[in-house]
Amino acid sequence: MKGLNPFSRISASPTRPAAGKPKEAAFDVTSLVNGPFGEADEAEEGITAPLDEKLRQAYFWIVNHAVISPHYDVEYNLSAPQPIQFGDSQTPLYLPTDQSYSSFILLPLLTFAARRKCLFIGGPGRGKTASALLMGLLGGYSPKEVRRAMQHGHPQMTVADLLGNPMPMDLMQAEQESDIRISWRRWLNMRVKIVDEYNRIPTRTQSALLTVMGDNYAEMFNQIHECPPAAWYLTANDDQGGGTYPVIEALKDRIDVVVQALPFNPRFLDELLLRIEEGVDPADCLPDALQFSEAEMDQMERSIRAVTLPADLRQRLEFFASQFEFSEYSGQQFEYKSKDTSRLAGVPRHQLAMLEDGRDRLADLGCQTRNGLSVRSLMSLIVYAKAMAFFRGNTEVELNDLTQMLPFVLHSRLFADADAPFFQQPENAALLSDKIGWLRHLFQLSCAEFERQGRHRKDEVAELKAELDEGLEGVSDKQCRKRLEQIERALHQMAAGNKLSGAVHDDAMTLKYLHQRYSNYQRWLSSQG
Amino acid sequence: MKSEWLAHYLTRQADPLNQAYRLARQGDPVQFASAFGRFVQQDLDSLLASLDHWSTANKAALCETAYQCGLTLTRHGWLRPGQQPVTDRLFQQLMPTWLAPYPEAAPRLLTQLLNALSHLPGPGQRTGLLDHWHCCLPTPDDTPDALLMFSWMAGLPQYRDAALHALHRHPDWLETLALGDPQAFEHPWWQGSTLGWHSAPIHLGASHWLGGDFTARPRLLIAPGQTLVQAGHECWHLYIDAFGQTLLPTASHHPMLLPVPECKRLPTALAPLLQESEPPRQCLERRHDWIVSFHDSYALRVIPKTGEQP
Repeated sequence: MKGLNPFSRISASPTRPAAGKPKEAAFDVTSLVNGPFGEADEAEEGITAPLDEKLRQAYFWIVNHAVISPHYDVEYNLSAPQPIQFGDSQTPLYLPTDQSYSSFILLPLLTFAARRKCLFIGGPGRGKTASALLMGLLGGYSPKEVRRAMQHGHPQMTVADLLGNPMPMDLMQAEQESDIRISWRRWLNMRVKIVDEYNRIPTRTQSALLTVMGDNYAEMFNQIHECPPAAWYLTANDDQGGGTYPVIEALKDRIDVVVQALPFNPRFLDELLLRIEEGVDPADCLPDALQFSEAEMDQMERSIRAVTLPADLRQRLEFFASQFEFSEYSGQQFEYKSKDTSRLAGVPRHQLAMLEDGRDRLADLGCQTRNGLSVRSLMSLIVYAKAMAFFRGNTEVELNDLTQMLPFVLHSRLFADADAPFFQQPENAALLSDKIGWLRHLFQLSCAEFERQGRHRKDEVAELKAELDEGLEGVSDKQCRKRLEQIERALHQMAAGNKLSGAVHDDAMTLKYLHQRYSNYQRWLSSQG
Repeated sequence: MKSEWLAHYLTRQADPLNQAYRLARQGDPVQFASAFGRFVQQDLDSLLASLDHWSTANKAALCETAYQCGLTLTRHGWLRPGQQPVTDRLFQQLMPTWLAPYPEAAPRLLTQLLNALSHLPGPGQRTGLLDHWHCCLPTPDDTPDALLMFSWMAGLPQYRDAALHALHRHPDWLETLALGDPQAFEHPWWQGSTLGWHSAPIHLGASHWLGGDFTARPRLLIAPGQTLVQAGHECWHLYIDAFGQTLLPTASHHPMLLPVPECKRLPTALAPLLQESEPPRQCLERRHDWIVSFHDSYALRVIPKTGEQP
């Protein structure tokens, strides 16, 4: 009775028409035999659908049939949306003018496509585990397989529980460690890995998990088990250390995105009622056409990596990232003027803040955070921006892809400084608890500053760096001297015209690097006679 | 029930069938249950009873498709009093005769015919298609051509060009339907040797926006081989002939798109036909008709050229 299951139906019409090639004909005669009673060639279309279309079909199937999520918080607009103001706080509600998405479904799906690591946070019973389960089904596993492979964190979980057990007979008879065979747990070989309530796992077991997550292998008794590339889903009721054990920082840093389960809207109680009355679990009804084979997952990851990030967007991202690590009074030497220096030394932030008298602490974005951005977080951001562009059927990342993905990637990586003057403003107080809103706002402020400084029109440091990237081969002594002069002139201009900020600091460090490369080259040229 | 096989099948498959029903139901549950129950007892039962000689697998496949189609029919209102006779006729008279020789292809044929019928605006047009269908009873291979031809004749002029090609492939149907020379259908206002010419002007839209097709005064535009109508931000491709008219939404950025120039008075040939109407805004003369827009009205008028012979 496969055909009778309404959950198993997927639309044959394109999920995002603008993403496809425009049709030349005003209509298609084959549309006459397709319609509300079913598609004549549904099965064939399912097989040949491009992977981005298939991914969107999966998204819409989950949104329409599996997870009741009427939240469209990842907004896209073709034209400026008109805000509708609500309440005394005049909170605007925007009606997006382009296809928009629910982050709770979208981010896990992008994690699946890019094979990264996603953490679901939120109170109990909000669908975190159910969403992770659906991602396992998309990977081609049966509901039973996914449920059995799911690792449920608990305070007594041992490394053996997580990874596997040595063969008892080998333990008795082995003369050396390498003779002990390990019965590895089956979940290690899956392409979708789920760890439920990971913050209830003891610290020692977390370290073993870190090795699997970070380096894709498991180790016991000197035996190594290589795991296939996989999408990871972890769940936690609380992201602030409210689990049984504190989560080790390195494990947290391996997580690429954090998605918050939004509250259930009681207006959709009728759908819950229907599921109860009919005893239906949508997880059992995922259409076969939406499952991705291993080859398709490989291809999808390659396609995502092939999406281009335009230079203009890269420069915006560079500018944004340069704002946060800089701390003028954390170090004496230029290179050590970073928040990490004072953090490692245990110097309280407010002491450093008292020393600052030059810069506008309200306008400087770096003052809003306690830390800077790690390299891993920037890599994750680029991957998710590319995955988002791929999902929307584009071959190039758009600014809004970055704007929308950034808050979810930096959610647990960039921390707000509650003492910052920005958060003392009444209109910004809510942003302390709304991390997604704050991070999105932060990026928008950064983009506005980027444009105000005219960096999108002229960026001398980028030009100088591009010149070096072309290579030093064939560069004459004269050219080298000329470029060194240019670099020194640029540094002097920078020092004269600006207060020392994060972006200026990074530009100065870049110019110092260029200066070193050219001066070393020049010395080599001289030695050649 | 007339079909013992269906009764057993419904009992055996009660769980998935009930589940499919409950997930598909919408609106007033009592009315939905009543309409769908009637469909199963009369239409589905008749169909399966008449095909009792088929193998169990073929009957099950058709029954599964027909059951799901029945739920869609109920949701789309095809089992309401005004439309019920067409559905009854389809399942109780036409399907048993037509599908009987094709047990393997039956589910696909049923779906295709229902989909084609769903494009027609009302029961009148659907009846028209079924009349033609009943006379010709196409084979599975000929079904796409039959769908094109009879849908066009039932009121879907957008399929005209494709249908004309199909027409030439099936002179036997023209003979069965007494439609005469296929060449004559090249003229858009010819309806066949029985009905002859369509000569009455056709009105599209209304005198004001309320209840009409257009939310602003329509303007005529032309591009090579196309006539478009623009009203406000919307644009349509106009398809019209003796069998019906359709406005298909389209983009208004064709590279060769030109507005039809405004006119102060109508051509002499049209004056007697539009004597009492309001002042015209545009008058587009095409090979076989005129299309007129107006300064104040949210309507268009299409006047077939008469007096021609096929």
